[in-house]
Amino acid sequence: MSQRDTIQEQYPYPESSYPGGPYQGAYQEAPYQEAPYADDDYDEAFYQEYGEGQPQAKRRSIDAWMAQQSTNFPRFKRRSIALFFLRLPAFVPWFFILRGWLSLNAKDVLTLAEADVLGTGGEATFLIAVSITPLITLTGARWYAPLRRWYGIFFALIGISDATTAAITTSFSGGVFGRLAGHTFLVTGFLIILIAAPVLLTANTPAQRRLGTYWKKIQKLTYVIWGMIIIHLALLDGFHPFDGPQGDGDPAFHQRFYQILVISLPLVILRLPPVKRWVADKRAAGEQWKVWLTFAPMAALYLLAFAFIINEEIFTGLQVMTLNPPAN
Amino acid sequence: MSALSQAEAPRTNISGFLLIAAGSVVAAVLLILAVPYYAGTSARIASLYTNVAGPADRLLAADISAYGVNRSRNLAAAKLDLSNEVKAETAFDNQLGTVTFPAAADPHADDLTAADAKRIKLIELQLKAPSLRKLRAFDSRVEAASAAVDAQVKIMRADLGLPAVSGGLY
Repeated sequence: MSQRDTIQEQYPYPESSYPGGPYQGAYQEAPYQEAPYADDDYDEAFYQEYGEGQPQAKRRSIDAWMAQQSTNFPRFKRRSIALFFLRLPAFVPWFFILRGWLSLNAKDVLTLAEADVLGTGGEATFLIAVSITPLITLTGARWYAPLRRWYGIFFALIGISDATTAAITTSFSGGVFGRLAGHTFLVTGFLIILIAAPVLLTANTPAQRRLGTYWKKIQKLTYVIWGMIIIHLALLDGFHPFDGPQGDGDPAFHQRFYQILVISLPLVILRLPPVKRWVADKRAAGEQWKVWLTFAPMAALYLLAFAFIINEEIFTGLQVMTLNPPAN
Repeated sequence: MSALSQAEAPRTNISGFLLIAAGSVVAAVLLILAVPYYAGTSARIASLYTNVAGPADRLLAADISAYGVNRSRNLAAAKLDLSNEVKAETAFDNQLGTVTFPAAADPHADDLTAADAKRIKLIELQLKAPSLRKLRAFDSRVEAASAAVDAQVKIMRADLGLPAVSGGLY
């Protein structure tokens, strides 16, 4: 845990004139630099970044506090402990699907529900990965930046496991190819996995070092993946709320295309350079509350949509765990 | 150059604010719309129930009526009516299982399905009767089972704010 944080993740991350800096890829923490162990001189780097007298007290206090050794577990930094626990949810989709795999698709549980569990899980991990940069922009705190690479990698791995399971167990006609690409929404899903493969393979420091400037271009495929996920969900759920004699009476809240649109809204806006500059200006002026106030409705909508994604994951995940799949 | 940068700086910041404010206005409107939408959940669940119950009731009413005619004169036709009744009831139970009811109504939906399953089992036994007389001998037991279903339907409909029905219907 701590070794990976120390060696592979450069920390804190070099910053441009405004928080978040230029786009660095969903899986990347910073452009490659020769100094390999930035984490070792965290305190020094930190105070170089924020000179004396800057009104960054809150941000400094959070990152600095996280960089200290834990009181209860002095061998570890607080940041390492926090990151350890924040990384665990990435395993949840596999935890839910495990019984389906081990039972070799008993009661057709994988046929009926694997895409819901692994697909929703993959979507959630991707959205967490692309949420880290905007969150850094918004809060100024950078201690959780390694989660971007972590959740990005898990998005790709969960997606690959989803495609593999679907290729074997789903009921679409046309053999393996039909099960992977027999419908338009399946084609987009399959393309997501194909595009994610090079991003996954290069989501490590040695690849970053070898590829140089090309590395960033490969990581920018994340934006293509993002667009493809939106198209995939639009093709899957359509543009209208679900209908038919099923559900819990809130079909619009469960519409995955709507969910990803309202989640993407703040994530895209917080990537726009003028917005990042405005946020940085307000923070520098000690008016962070204005940022939060302006951003609050988008944050509320983001959390609402994410709550329904988590709800879907738990609901369908429990169906697989208990071998009690939906009728269809 | 410096004067230009100073003149442009506030405008850039305003554009940043306007972008984030525009997004937040859209988000606020969606959140405001979500409140009355969420408030209509119980009505939509009641609608889901009636969407399942309506077609089943129409089939059941026809089958029960036809059985009333055939039970005393045509064994094959009476058995066909009962068989159709079983199909309609089974379809209702399966579709009811796809509706996620609120916590208060959910156990009552399970009770209704269980009562219906007992009635279905009884009718399936009735279908094995070799004569009209033996077929009719089951009627009182089926009526008792139907009364149990009626009681559960009454509770379920009360949970969902729907008017009561009777006669073995949903």
